[in-house]
Amino acid sequence: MKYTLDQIRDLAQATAETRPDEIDCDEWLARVAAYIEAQGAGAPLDPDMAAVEQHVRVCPDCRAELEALMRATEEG
Amino acid sequence: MSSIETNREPERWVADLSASGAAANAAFADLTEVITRGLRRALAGRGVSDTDLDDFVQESLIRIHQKLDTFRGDSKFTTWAIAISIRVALTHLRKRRWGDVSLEALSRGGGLTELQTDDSATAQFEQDQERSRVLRIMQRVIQNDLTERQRVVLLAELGGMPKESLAEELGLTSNALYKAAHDARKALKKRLTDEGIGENEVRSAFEGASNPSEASTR
Repeated sequence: MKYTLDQIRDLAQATAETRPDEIDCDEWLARVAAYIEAQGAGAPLDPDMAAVEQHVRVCPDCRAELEALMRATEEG
Repeated sequence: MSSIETNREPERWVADLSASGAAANAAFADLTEVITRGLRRALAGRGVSDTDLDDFVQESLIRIHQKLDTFRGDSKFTTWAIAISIRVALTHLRKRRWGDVSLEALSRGGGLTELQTDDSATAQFEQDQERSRVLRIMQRVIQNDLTERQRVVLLAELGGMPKESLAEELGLTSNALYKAAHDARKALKKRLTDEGIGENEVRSAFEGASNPSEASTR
């Protein structure tokens, strides 16, 4: 399989954002509801919430799910 | 005005959904409304049919019921439930978009052994020295330093294969799949750092990089 520039850029960017301790997609799902409510309330990021943000920088699937959750829960 | 009771306390949602009889029926009916409304907003513009939406809602209700004991109570119950329903729906849509391409088909002809660039990307890389250097290091690590599992997971995911399909084919839990990809990225990052390319240098090397056809339509 041959990869496009976009795909290789995404891998390079995910590599740059990689941290030794990351949460996986299941743990992200367990935390994301609290994260989105804390964001909505303007609460400061604690380490648990920071891990949610870090995860979406390396996981495009969860990034898409976060965007969908934001649309689902926005007021109006 | 809606008659559904969405403002239950989280503990009451869990208790009612765990019960049987009228309380459970009412809670499931209310949750169905909540999830349906949430998914309609979440999936707007994706061309999801009403039949698909109903299927996603039904599967979500089952999944939420199975996961009730994992709800931590640190958010509204409804936000947590909608997050799960979005995972259910987007997993289905990712699998549908991917189709039935198997890992074997993807691997045919050495397809998952190295990070090869297509013609357009090759031409783009030739024009940027720093970007090419990052690419060459990543290619070396993928070919020489990763385990077979790490290499296959990294390259198949990069090619767009849904994690869920990949996990099924490899017989891995989602956790093990994530660990393989994470270990692969850590190896890439370590080698880049050892060669004097920090994360900021990687970011700047790929700043503004995108496929020519997409860049021209933006």
